[in-house]
Amino acid sequence: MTAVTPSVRRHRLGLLLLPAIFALLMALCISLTSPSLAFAAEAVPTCNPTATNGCVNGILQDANKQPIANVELKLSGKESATTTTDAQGNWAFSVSADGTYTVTMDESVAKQYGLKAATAQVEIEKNSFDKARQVVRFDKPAPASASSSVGGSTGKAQSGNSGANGSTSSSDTATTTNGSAIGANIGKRIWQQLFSGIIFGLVLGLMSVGMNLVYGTTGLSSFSHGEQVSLGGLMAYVGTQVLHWPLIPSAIFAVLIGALTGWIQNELIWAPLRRKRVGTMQQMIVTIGLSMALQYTFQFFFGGDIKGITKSVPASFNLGPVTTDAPTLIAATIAIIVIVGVSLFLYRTRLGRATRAVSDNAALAAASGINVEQVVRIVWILSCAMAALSGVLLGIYLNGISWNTGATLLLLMFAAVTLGGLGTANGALVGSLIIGIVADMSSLIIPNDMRYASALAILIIVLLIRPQGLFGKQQRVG
Amino acid sequence: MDFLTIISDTLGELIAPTTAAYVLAAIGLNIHFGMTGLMNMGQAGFMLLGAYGFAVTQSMGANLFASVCAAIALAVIYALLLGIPTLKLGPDYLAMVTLAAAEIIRIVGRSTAMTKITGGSAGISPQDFTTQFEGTSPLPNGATTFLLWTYNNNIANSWWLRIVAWVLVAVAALLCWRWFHSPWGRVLKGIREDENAIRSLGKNVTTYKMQALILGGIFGALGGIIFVLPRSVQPDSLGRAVTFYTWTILLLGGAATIFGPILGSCLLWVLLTFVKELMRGAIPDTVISSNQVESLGWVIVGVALMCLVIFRPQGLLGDRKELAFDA
Amino acid sequence: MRESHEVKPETKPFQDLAKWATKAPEGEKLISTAYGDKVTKDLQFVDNEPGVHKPDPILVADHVTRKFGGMTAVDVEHFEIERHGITALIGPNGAGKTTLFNLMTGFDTPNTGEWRFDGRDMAHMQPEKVARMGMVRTFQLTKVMSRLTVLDNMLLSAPVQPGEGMFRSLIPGLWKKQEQANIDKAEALLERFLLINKKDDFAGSLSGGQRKLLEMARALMRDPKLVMLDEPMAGVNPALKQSLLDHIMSLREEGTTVLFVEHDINMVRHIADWVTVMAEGKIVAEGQPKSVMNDPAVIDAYLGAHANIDLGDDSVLDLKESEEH
Repeated sequence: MTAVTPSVRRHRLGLLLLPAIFALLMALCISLTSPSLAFAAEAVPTCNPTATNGCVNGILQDANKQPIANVELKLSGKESATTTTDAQGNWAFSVSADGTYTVTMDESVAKQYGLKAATAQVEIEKNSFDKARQVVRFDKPAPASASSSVGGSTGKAQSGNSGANGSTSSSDTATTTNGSAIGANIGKRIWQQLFSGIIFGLVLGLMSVGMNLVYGTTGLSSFSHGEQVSLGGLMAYVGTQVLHWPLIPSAIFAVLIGALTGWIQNELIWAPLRRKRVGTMQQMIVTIGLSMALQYTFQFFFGGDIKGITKSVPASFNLGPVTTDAPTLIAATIAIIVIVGVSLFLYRTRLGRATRAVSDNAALAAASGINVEQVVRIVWILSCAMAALSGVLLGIYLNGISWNTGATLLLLMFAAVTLGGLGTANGALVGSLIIGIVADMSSLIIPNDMRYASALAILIIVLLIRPQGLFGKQQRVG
Repeated sequence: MDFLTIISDTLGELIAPTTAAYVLAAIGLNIHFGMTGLMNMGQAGFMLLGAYGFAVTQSMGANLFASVCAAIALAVIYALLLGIPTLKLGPDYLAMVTLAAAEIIRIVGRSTAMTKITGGSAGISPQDFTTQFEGTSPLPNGATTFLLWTYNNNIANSWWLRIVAWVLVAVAALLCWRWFHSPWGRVLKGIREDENAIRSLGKNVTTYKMQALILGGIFGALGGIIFVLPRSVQPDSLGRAVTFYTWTILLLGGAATIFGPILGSCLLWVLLTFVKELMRGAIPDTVISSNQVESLGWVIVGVALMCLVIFRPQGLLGDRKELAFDA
Repeated sequence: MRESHEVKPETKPFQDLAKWATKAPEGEKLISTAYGDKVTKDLQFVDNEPGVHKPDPILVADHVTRKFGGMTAVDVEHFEIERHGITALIGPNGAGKTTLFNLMTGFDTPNTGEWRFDGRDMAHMQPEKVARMGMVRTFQLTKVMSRLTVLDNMLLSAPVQPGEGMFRSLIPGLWKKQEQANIDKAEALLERFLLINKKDDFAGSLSGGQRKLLEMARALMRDPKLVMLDEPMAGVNPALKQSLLDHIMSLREEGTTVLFVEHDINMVRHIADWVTVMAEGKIVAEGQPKSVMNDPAVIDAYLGAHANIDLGDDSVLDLKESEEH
């Protein structure tokens, strides 16, 4: 496969114009503002986000985590409605428009139960899997700057959505509403976005390293890798919510299922195709078919809504300038441990060295006595297991996983892998971190629903400047 | 279960504008992949741009010809933007970049910030852009029944749209046939086989690839216009899935053949509709819901694509020896 | 967005020079190998040392270096190719021969260096322009368009074909005539390279040796001034080898300059007017075939220091040479 034709002339004025055009396009997009549309929101007993509706919900609890029943909550913003909490403190609104919503309760009620705020703001985006549902909490104190502002907004909202995106977006909106707070909060926002970008990048890295290992050893860009991620998350959901296992056994179950599917698909599909000497482009289209089949099989069994792996709302706390919660940090730690483990495996063990040898030159590796098929089998198992694990972590971190979560992230994986250099293991990690940070940081500048676009634009720009990726090598022609 | 309805619905797909739209998109993809070997994984991006170019200018009151030109111009610009950085790189890069770029268009198009122009995720509704097209129809108002099918003459999913769509398909197929059997087509096929060899023979490979990318993109954009005319412009209805459908159609019919895209599109939609209608009719809603039937349809397409590529990569019409894949 | 063509179409009829160049048919005198004699005479007075200047160079390269990571693949101080001559480029694997080919033909970009072909600066020129200037190459791993017919492979190399423009291709009247002329020329070449029976087969069905022949024929279709053959003999069976050698020698008689990479020292001795030896990216020796073979630097490059082995069994070729003279 010709990786990079070295006849690429890198420094051409014409090429440099392209990023400029992209930037211009982006700028154009930002300058346009959206008119608000008024539709009815409705109070519902339980809410599941779909393509046409988003959810604002929560469990109202007092300072001692006891449910508070029969409290009236008002939803305002793009749409408005009123509801009362049930015996377990549950409440939910189903909304149809994307945008910012404010949930308010009587301030005296908040005082009575020791809640630190009576108002919370969230941002709903129906088609973003991590923002179609926002869990609202009232147990966060209001920042000092916000208390000086007028209106009902007496406290900064903290959406309990453990996803850093969720929590930051709510602080975003708080900042924009309370005009006076902009200056004070901008630094905090940068830190928060950087933090969430790194976490996202780490989880993404877990997926892309595996994908890149497969590419390195077999030359195949797997489009079905996203489905392996969804599979991991959904299996963890099956473990916790269907089989009612604790989280850790469920996660292990999910990873094992992931590894198993890796092994099975290698034995059933990829190994025979390699034996038949089917080209990698042809195999790539097979992965597209597989991706479609798997994705809609998930939809068939799990439906179109988001599945929460854990139902509890974790307590968030401040860590230096950023707000976070325990599951997020644990997910990040696990991701780091696994990535370090994989690097150690690649560089310190016999099998790992064999893997790198196969990546480098499969024919040569085979000639020097390495069992290439064995290595590829292990790479498939490892990569699918890692994808499943990342799916579980993502599900915990974003508070839910759906049938197409992986498919949404596939492009970011590709971007990360290409950015790092196709087939280079550490490149994928660095690429993922960059993509994660760019995606989350860019929402400081461009509208939040376009942040993935910015990551993809980065990919295209990098290809212009350094087509072989950050860590890729050029190859000889002929 | 009503067999007659199922059959007439199913056969209706044979001449549906959507089928024709997919034929056009697949003809474009055939120029990319079948002739030139370009792995365009973002044909839906061209279609969406074409649809936006047409619908946005129409809703602003431009005339029909200008709108079609705008759609084509957008496709050309987009192809240039994509092609300049990636055509010199390997096939993997083009695949990823086209996929990413198509997604960027969709994300930007459906973004709330773009609501004024593209209508955001709600899109552009038909009354804003189809009136002029419907106005050009020479047919009398009313509905006409021809064989099994009854459609309105001029409005929405009409006979007039069907006529225009299939005439467009015929013209596209004719042009393709000419191109396939010309020295220009031969150079493209040479590039598909080995671009470095072609380069060593003094051909400017990048220019040829760019021509192919633009040309295929224009057919994609025209397909996009036909695709949205019977419905509305919905960015999410022209997502990655459409690209994958187009690939399935092309590979089903046979890449690098003239009639492959036409046969592939007709066959895919007829069979898929038939299977879905049959499931809806035969299996009670309590066992498999309507949404699940939709999912199953997709699973079938996915599995069909896998099996096709593995067992009959030349498609129905292709020559086994002249596969469009590297052996 | 269409091709421009500098090279005029070939009009002169083809002579069966392949046979003439090496041995005359029964009862006829060997025709004068005019270019061969001239080149031999000119090169007689050139010193046998690396980077030497030659009387009438067609290609002159200076300070060409190419690094891959930390490794220097090519580091050529000065290099000339004599016009109308057959120059052999030899050297052990990894000596940088193919990389040098790639650099000269624009398939790779050097870190430093400049080179002139026929007096024109070629640095930073795209491969297709290099080919259109008359410098055509073949590849070590043959690059034939497998799923096009042998004839189509040839026609792709035709220097003039207006039908290769996107719009003009739609009107057959504009290119049918030229197409026929190109087909005639291609068939003549295929006949000469013994491939005429295969002209409607897919090129992918050819054997390795036939692909080498096709690639060479395809290069000649462009009427090159300098043809660069990367291991033209590799994988070719012995029977075909002789005919390939004859083809290369006949090229010289048509006024084409030949540069070729080869590992088979006997072949090199037999047909080359001049031999350039590369090792570890540098030119380590140059000269007349006979003297270069005895150069200690060459023996060292090929076999490592102190190897006391003959570079080839010359007896067969000596016999052949005595037959011819």
